[in-house]
Amino acid sequence: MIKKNVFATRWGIIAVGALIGVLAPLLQKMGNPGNMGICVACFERDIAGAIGFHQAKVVQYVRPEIIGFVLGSLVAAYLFKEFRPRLGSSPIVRFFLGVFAMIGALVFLGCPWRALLRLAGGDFNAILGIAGLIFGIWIGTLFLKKGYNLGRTHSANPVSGWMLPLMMGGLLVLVLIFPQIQGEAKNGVLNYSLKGPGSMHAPLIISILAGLAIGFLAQRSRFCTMGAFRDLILFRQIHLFSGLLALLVVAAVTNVILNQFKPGFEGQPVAHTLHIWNFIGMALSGLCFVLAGGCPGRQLFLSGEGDGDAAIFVLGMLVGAGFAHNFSLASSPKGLGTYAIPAVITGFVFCFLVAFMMTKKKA
Amino acid sequence: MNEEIIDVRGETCPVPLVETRKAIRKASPGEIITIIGTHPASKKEIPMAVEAMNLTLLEISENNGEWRIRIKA
Repeated sequence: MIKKNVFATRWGIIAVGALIGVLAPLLQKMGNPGNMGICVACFERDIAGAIGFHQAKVVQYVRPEIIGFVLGSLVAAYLFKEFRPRLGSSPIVRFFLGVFAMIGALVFLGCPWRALLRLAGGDFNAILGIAGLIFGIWIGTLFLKKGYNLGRTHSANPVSGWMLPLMMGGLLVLVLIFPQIQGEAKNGVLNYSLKGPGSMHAPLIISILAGLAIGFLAQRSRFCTMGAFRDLILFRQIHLFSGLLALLVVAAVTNVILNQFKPGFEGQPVAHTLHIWNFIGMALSGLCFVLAGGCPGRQLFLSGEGDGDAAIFVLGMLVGAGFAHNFSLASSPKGLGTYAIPAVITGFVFCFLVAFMMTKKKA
Repeated sequence: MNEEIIDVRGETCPVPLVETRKAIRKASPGEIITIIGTHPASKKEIPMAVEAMNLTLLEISENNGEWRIRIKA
């Protein structure tokens, strides 16, 4: 008998997209930055700052949502017997794909989830970002059709599958041992922003619960923004895309209800109006996501179900965030970072090198 | 009856789905395609793609983390 996973059905994925669409604006209402109720790239960047990978004082905070994503996925994977420790599919390549995915995302200022949430909040600059994301994914699908493959993964000892969940658990323990002290930029080993996006956050318990819920449901439904566009382009399959659309529509409606919908290009929160670079930044990220097999959210959920390769991509993103801020690659609302352009060019060169060299013509 | 075996053990998303789609495209009507893989997400994705293409899903089985999906083109 073939058992049905309700979250893997069309209505299941729509429900998961809709839930994220409600939770993200609510998290913003409860304290998270503007149009950033959830942003995997920004939140991982904040974590990188909190543990000292970079010294950008305005973006340092251990985001509990990210911890929740991984641990929620871990719980779901164990409950439904889908925890499969595995790794070995070009880990070092995945690491650098993570690095450049983060650099591209920080040129645009957001991951695919935030691109949708920015649009749902009325930030029309996100349109070019989403167009760039689709363009990058389309380039990636050309390589997939020709046989691009990072190689086979292998079963591993459960310890390997536990590494990222343990790291996330460790971060949570650090937050509990060294909580934020009002007006202090540091407590113990953790940095805390006193101003800027890093200083804006929903209460810890709310953020962690939202993260756990999303992580659990996303593992069950395999929600993936990159996969949504990839399946649409490659197979004309709208399953994942329907979840993404639900996220966009429900987030827009929730923003209108919460009076958070501010349409326009200028003065949008944590955004710039350099349309070409919004496009190019996300194109780089989109290409990295296809080559690595998932959007940054999906990489976290895969890590929770024991995928060590996805965990390495996540670590690459954390290190990429460090590079982005230490070397002035990341954008700010004022514009591009000083060395953003050469970094993006390097990213594309790297991606094309990987894509060409790992594409095997099959008989 | 012809049976095509697609071995995607160890391959990760989206390779199993891409290879399945290629096999379906090449198959003659009524041909059986068996996909053998290990990636958990692909075990969910392939049946959904089969459903979307109005093909017949004959069987899904799993043993020690290795799954088999049989479909009729």
